[in-house]
Amino acid sequence: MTNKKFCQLSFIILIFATIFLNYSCKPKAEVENKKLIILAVNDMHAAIENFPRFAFIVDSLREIYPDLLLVSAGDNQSGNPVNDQYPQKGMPIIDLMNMLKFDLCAVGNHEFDTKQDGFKHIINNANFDFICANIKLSSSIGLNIKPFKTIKMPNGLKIAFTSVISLNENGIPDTHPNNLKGIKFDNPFKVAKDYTYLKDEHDLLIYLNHFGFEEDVELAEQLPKGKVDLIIGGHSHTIVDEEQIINDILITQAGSKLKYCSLICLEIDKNYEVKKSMQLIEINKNGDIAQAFQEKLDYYNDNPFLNEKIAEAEDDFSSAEQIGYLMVDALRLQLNTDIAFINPGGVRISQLEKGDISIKDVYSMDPFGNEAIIFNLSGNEMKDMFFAAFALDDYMPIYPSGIKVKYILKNEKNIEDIIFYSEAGEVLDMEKTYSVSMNSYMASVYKYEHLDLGTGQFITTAENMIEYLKELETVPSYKNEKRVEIK
Amino acid sequence: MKIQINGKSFQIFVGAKVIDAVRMYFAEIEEVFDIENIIVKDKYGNKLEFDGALNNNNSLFIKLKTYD
Repeated sequence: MTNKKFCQLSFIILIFATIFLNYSCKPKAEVENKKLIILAVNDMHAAIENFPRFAFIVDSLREIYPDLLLVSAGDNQSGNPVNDQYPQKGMPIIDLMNMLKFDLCAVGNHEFDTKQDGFKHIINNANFDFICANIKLSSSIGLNIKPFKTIKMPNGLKIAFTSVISLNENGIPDTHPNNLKGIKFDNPFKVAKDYTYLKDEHDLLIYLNHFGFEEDVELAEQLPKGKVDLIIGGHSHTIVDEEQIINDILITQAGSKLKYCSLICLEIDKNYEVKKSMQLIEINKNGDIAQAFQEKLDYYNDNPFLNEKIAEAEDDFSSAEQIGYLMVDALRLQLNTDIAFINPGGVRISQLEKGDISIKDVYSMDPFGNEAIIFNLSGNEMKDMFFAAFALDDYMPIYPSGIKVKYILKNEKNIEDIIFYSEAGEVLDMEKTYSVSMNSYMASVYKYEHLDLGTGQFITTAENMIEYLKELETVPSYKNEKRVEIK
Repeated sequence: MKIQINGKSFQIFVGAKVIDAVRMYFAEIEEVFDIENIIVKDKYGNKLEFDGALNNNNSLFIKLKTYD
């Protein structure tokens, strides 16, 4: 026996032993019982680097359970530039999901990050269906998303899967509103209750939700008893490592980024009683891999597009301040706000040579993964923010766009006053409210009074800058740019 | 949106993630934190990843790893 075969067999024995010798699936007395085995992931966020290991696990489990259903509870996209910046945005992970023969996928909020044309391309090229019941699509949108799907298993079980997606306070999923033009959404709790009728026509009813664990629990408590058997969840990146059964409904979720998957067993007896169990399997550790998936991963990682020119700098950038001004201009102009700010710690590099700027250069400037947030702030609120930020930013100034700033210091660690000027040099109206963009780090750590809590734009500042540079094409010199005066 | 952290109410921007809530919490209590040394759980005792999405009225519990 080869070493690989031995490892594969060991893995199979381990899974078999830990799950089915220990719990509800009884061997002889219940031969008429029918089992459904599901392997579920959620919030993969384009973690294609874990696919070779995950594929090995899936292949091993299929040796034991040939009819294993493989499902994703949404958010396949967003989190890895190799996938997210791929010319056909988001396709690398879909290609790998096709290779691994996924059966079904919920629609997560980040599926819309590829924009409607991108999502349409993904749906058309996926060998599995996307489901979501609380999305309202007109036919002109052209997104082939089903409210539910029936799967008939070889053992005769008839399974219904449906799904609801989380909506934020604005009544839409967490993605940029521009990605959702023409699409409406219904209340997920109401819709989820409406679809419980599916149980009358199926042996099992499963919700493959992208709703958040707390919301799945709340939903389970509200659903009529005996209608829903299982909720496979996503969105909150919750690591459910023990069986959680609420109102007779098993609720699972497996963290994010393919670090875990949930192996779920539903066993239905002749009296239609359903026994439910799950086990969390860790993926993200050393172990055997599926070689074909490694080769596919290498192919995507070797793609030269990350090094391709997206814009050209007319001059050298020789300080973090100059690069900060470029970054903060990208925020303001791409997000169309009056003003933008970036903290000094938000600029990772201090030099950039004139010439080609690549996607990789952008991630060198801004590797933090912070998202863009927009606030409506008065001049006085902005001033309070500057006071709050100074010590947190090691007594370094914030880089502005759309205004100029004068810091008047008592001493090197204390501010006496802050004066804002328009770009034309006039003192800013401090009572007026301005739209202000900044990164999510600044939005969460600066402690100051402000009426507007802010709204995430669901795009990282790096992705925003890539879009800005692609449109700008030629980056002017920032050598003589001076927006902050310290007195 | 409104969330609870260690039993206390916080207001945070729409679209915030667990890491944003953690940063806000430590800014509020004026302590520095090392992300390697803390864990965040929900009200059911499940561990949350730092990039997890938050919804309105979610409850988080931030603990030092050594206390767990």
